[in-house]
Amino acid sequence: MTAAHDEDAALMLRAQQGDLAAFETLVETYRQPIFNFIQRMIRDPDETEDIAQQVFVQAWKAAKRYRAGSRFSTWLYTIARNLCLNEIRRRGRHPVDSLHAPARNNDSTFERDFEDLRQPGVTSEVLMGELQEKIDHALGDLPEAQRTAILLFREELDYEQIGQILGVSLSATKSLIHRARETLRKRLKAYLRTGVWQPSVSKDPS
Amino acid sequence: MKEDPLSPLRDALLRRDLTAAEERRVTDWLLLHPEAAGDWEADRSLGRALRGLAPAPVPSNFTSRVMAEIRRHQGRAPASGKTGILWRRLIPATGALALLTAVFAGWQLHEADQRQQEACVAGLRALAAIPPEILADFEVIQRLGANPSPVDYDLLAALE
Repeated sequence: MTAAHDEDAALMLRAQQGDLAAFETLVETYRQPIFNFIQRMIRDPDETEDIAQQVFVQAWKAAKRYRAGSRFSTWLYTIARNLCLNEIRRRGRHPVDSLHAPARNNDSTFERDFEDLRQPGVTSEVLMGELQEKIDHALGDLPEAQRTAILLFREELDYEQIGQILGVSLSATKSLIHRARETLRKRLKAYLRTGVWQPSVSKDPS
Repeated sequence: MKEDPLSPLRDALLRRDLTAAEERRVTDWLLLHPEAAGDWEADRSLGRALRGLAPAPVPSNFTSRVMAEIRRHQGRAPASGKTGILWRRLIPATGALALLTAVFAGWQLHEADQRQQEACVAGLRALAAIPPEILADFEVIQRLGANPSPVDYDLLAALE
């Protein structure tokens, strides 16, 4: 366990004793990665804010259940993932169109109206911006476990932590990240080659 | 399934640029497997794109809102910390004291009842012990008490 993790655990133990200042430090530290994770899981900025708030409030309420031996980040992301899953299930029952949701149906047929990626003279920032937008949408098309795994990996969690959050083995975690990376790479390669963003393949449950 | 020797480096690209040593490893490997160069470049672009994803906007007052919500919750929920510990100890103690007081008061009432019953029984026993001949003249005796006899002043003077 690194010093930062020790520090988080120490702050959480103080929070367990009712130390609000210690908990506030944890909120400050984790609010950005938690926002990043939730936003890419549910893809709705308004809901992201509400769920992020719930994550921290629930972490406070459940502080007594936190065990010193475990990493605070693992515990916090487990709460975040559960709340995201609740939201995804709720939307499954009561589908709503978010004002912020991108127009996904245009993705597959979108033809770029500017120069090809491989041609010189196009600023790399513009290309990278476009690529990021596509990848961001492609993340949303991944099955939930793969998306969670790759997003958490991006947020610097290690394989073991991700496995604990998802409730799967270390090898299954690596496999999820591998499959997520493969899917994204395939779509990216096709895009780089043709300039057309391919529609997502049908989602398998994992 | 054949293990991809570059897999850990492909994962690493999701988080960071490769070190010079890692880049050399990749170059050496691609010299032997030129057909994999396209995949590798796609992985590199993917890593760069993922790392470059814009951070989700966090409202500047987010932390203070979370803390306000927690304080509001604390106001409703049972207290925690030192005060909570004190309350958690005090509440059972107060309860036990109230229970003891109630038991003592009940016992006292019971005792008082017992004493009253005993007194009643004793009175009835005393009444039962009175001979029946006395009770035969009961009404005469009662009337005597009701109309006291006038004072015999002559007898009183003789006695003095």
